Amino acid sequence: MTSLPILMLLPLLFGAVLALLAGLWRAASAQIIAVVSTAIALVMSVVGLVTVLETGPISHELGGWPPPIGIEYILDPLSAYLAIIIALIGLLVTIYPVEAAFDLRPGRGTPVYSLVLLLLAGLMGVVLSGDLFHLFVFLEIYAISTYALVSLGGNRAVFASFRYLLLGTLGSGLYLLGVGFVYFSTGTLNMADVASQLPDMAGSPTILGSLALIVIGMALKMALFPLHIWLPDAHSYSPPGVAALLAAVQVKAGAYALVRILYDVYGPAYLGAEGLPVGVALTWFGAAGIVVGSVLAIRQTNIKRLLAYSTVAQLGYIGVGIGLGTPLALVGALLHVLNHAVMKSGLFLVAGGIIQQTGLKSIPRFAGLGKRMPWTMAGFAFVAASMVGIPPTAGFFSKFYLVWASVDLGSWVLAVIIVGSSILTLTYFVKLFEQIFVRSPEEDVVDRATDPGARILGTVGVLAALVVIIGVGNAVIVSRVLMPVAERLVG
Amino acid sequence: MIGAYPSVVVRVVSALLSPFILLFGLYIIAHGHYGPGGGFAGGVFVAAAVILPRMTLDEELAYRLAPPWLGPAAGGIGMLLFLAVATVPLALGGDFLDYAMVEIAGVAASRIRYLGILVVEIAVGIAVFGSVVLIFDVLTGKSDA
Amino acid sequence: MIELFLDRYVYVFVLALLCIGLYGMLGKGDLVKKVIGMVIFQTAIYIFFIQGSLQQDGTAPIIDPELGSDPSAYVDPLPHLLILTAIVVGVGVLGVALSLLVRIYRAHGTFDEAVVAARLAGASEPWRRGPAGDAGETSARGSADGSDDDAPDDGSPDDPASEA
Repeated sequence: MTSLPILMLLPLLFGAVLALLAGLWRAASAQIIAVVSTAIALVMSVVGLVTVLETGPISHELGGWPPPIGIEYILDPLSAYLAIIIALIGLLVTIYPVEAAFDLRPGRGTPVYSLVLLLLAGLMGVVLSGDLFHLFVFLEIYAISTYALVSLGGNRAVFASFRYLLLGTLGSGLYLLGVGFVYFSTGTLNMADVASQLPDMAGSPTILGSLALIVIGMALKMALFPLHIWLPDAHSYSPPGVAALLAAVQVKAGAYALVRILYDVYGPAYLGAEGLPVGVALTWFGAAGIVVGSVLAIRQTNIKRLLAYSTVAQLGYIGVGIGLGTPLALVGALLHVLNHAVMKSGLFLVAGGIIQQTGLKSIPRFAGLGKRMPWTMAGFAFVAASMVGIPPTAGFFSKFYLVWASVDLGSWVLAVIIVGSSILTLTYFVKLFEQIFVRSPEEDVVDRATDPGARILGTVGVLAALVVIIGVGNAVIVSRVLMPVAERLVG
Repeated sequence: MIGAYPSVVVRVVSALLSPFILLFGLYIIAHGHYGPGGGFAGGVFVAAAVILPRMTLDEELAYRLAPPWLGPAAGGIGMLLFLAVATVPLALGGDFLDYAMVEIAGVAASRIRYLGILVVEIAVGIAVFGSVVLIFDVLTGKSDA
Repeated sequence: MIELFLDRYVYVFVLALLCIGLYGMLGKGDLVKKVIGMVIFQTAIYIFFIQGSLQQDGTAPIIDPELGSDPSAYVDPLPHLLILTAIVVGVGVLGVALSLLVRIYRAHGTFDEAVVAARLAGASEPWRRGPAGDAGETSARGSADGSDDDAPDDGSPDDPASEA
């Protein structure tokens, strides 16, 4: 099955084009095509993961040209793991009703699903690419789709999208410069080939410069503190469906690229004392991001903005995990990628349901929602518990691995920061819980609200159930998928 | 920005030039594989041949020659053609974009690759044409979306 | 020192353009100038790639029967392909940037970033378009859902101090 990597990407690309053309003809068909495409991609991703766990990495050469001449797609457990996350969140967001997800009146949603499918295709391509420049192309594909999708949220969203565009292009440009440095030193762009040539060039200033540029470019895409400034505006002003996609999967693609390039391509020769202190930088900037994100989230009154700052904090966890560089830390970071994707998209989809029913975004006015929208708020309760890190939900385990990894390395400060930020997270979620469950309805719109329709409840329910399932089953995920991946990357 | 330009010199010259720009664009698309050009640059030229009438000629005439739906439709069809040509080898058991898997009697494998690249360049040209025209239409507010 | 500079003057030029582009993107207060800075930044990267592909006494990378297949007789074609792709990507980004600029202008009437940010944060009066300009506005969405985030149900306007 050497064509598996392509078969995971093609449904999304075909779906994007067909959604555009079919949407021109009849508007409602675009969503159906989107759902079908993401479903096929999800099935292929699961098949892909099962296959590579049994048989080892699969490589697909484009055009029949063997690497390093040709472009190669690599499917290994790490790529398949992320591909499943991308396809799953994509499927749930495309099922969500279009008005609630994208702030659009029905019938005018024509290019939206095409853009969403292009976003997912771009992310899938980043995850599957085995070639440095090919990764850049897909990076830009999904970035352009996000600039367009974020701007759907109104006037503030357009301005936020413009600022995000500037910073995102800066990040991609720096990454491209880094790739240029690598190419002119090694003569090849294929990741495996570069990895085999780089150990001989240890200490070369060109390679060190390229490492710095690539890390900064990817850190911008991943919204690592202090390059996170585009994220709060972009995520809080965009429509809930778009915010779910962005927070759950788009920033994770930057994290994946960082993991892949740092550990697979550059390897330990460049990350330690002879190279650049990338690990230390990532760890401490990640820790700063955790603190800043959590502290700023507490002050917010707008629910989407609170979730956006919370995303900054969670990305800090992933940064810490990548920076620490031990197998345990990487396992924690990768598990957190999955957990955060499920949790954050669940929270944003709940927010979308609230906005659809009541039109409210301001937390002080949420009083009594739990009594009027019980099922939605029950799902919200599960997901929020996981964000705080209460066992046996999923969030507890990824933080546990990260704390364990930092204690293992003797870094007590980090462990304290990670545990302390859970307490900070608890603070702002307790505020939310008090509003929703304890107080009685004060606003008219809250009084008249009911549980939203089956599609919203269904997607939120799936995510809430996944939070518990992943938490309970995390031992399986870690032992079969993540630990071998982490040991291969770091060992 | 749209609509008849006040000067009659501009209107006449651009009406005369547009078909030649279109022809030149098609030439660049077709000669991309051994000279400068290819689908991207040629597509932009073909789009210029459509955008120039929009900027200088009478509005109703310009949109009758190339209606607003041409942008998204051409973009979609171009990309669909590219994906279709690229996926055919996959269906035949080879790799993505491996044109030589398509066996045509009496034609050497390198020749088949060359023809495949030509078809793909034309598809890319159509797609780029559609995209640039769509960008212009959206910027001037005349698109359907 | 001078020979080093003369040998590598293109890289100095690339660095200068990168800095100019970066200053334009981040330092200028006019949105259009920011976009121009972005384009300059991207162009500097293209020049860097093309410079790296040059070969002393090389010619265009199409096999010439007289020169044979010796790779050092031709210029490296791969960076040219990379740059073509990057240019097309840059055009796409520029298209999106210009569309966003048009929407911002239609909503606020100005390209000045500080003025737009102040209006959006609720610190100054929202811009009211005169009757003549609004009648032909094609995007009904521009007025209907454009005020979603400015609508009173948002509670207090977002704390300006939290724009960290």
